[in-house]
Amino acid sequence: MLKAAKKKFNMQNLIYLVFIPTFIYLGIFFLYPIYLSIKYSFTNISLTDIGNYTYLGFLNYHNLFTSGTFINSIYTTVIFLVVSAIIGQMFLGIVVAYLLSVTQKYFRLIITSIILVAWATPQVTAGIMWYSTLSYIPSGTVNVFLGYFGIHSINFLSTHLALMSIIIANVWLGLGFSVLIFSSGISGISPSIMKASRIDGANPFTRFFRIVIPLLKKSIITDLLLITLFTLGAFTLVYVMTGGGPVNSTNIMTIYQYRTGFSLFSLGLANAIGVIIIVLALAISILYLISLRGD
Amino acid sequence: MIKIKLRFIVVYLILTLLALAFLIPFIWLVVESFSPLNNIGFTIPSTFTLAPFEHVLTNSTFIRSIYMGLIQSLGATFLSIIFAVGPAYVFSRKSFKFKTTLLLGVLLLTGFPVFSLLVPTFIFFIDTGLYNTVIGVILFLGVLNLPIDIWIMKNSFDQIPKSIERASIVDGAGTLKSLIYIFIPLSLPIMAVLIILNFVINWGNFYVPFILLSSSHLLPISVRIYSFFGAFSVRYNELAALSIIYTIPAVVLYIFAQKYMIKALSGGIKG
Repeated sequence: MLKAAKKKFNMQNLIYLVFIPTFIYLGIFFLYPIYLSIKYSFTNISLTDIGNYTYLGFLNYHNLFTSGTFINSIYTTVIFLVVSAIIGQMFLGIVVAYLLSVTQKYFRLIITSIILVAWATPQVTAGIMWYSTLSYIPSGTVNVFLGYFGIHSINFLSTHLALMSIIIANVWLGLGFSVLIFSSGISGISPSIMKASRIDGANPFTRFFRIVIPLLKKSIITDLLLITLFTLGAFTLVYVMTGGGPVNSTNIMTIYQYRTGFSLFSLGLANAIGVIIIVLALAISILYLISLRGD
Repeated sequence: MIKIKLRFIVVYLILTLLALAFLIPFIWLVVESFSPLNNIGFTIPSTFTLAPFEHVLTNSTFIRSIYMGLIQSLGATFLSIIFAVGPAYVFSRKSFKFKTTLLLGVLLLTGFPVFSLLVPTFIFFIDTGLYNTVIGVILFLGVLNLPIDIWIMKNSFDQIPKSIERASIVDGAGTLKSLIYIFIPLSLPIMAVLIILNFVINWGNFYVPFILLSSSHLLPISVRIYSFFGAFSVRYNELAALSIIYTIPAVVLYIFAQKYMIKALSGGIKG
């Protein structure tokens, strides 16, 4: 009896063995690179001779935080994050999802699909499309349209406007995700609450700010976390559109990291930038977990 | 009443304008791919032609890059799914010490800024000889999707009622039998959706092969399009045609699988 129970117990525990291969795989190709990036961030390892490097202590970090280019890169990343992710995608996402929720079914399906096609477009294609669409010489689609209205061509990818242009392109790319999350959130709000507020005489704006937004709190936090992390890690779209230029005006941290490692050959410094990006992402994730626990 | 109607017209108008604005970037891509002209700017040609598509589809370099894109995306998808399914099942069906901690770890890796790992992985791959190999790209792409796959699969498995399995065990089937005859068939639709999603994410990934490969004949279509775009003299109509060939499968598959993903992503950590 006891023996049989023990055997059953062992058989039950065997199932935990399935964790082992997965942990080994994650360990070698995910966790080990994290360790390496911390390790190399304290060295002067260079692309020209990967075998030879010496430890520098915190010199890379010190150099970064005293470098105008890096401070500028952080500043660009913060603007990119706030305007593109928080205002452009999250806030616009709620508004669009709310407007869509009051429209007719097939109309909603068509509009949602169009927004989703943008979200599903691979970033290389999106980058090329936007580069052409905003082209100055020869005139891209936007400038040709402006010409129809007699407006002079605008150089959208110039030093002053390039950051705004990559923000618009990134909102275009990412809006679908937020609209999906908020649409499923809004469809979860009980219709009787909406009806009650209408009877109470709440106008659409009051309803939006006093009822929809508070009830969507969980969707908002989830959406905010995911799009902030997506945007912090964004690379391809901006790299294809501007390559970080002109004159570093769109030099977000991922692009700065890439250029430092592969154009300037300073892999040690590039790893330090990577570690800073990782720490930022972890800080954002922990904030998210704390705010969810508050519920 | 009139006031309400007016309000609805405004809503429809705003959304229609937004959708039209969303279509603007596609105009150049579509027009240029059927154009005999070669222009990064926007011009409507007097005639349309299929020649760009013909040139692209008869060019062995491009065909090879499509093939490379398929191998790398499918290989990585296979690895992610195989390594995710076991842990996802255990997370969903068993309760054990450290379960919440492990799940939190998986969740943190899901949101990890993986781009920043390309530099250390590049050095690691040069040291181990995995640099500039297809298997290296597959191994790294595969591990990137593993955390989110575990997460989505666990949430989906949670929705398969435990009572069905329990009933089959009461009826005399062992755990393994109930797994094979009850659980796996019920989870097949989830698997199909996840395979599609993984494939589309890998197909769309640019920076992993861009940084981990250097030989021209190994480049997948995502990187090939970029280097075509950055070349000295570009035939833009062929670039547009190639981009369309690259984009359509991703968009069609993604739209198909999307609805499911949001539902699974927003599942809880408990249970």
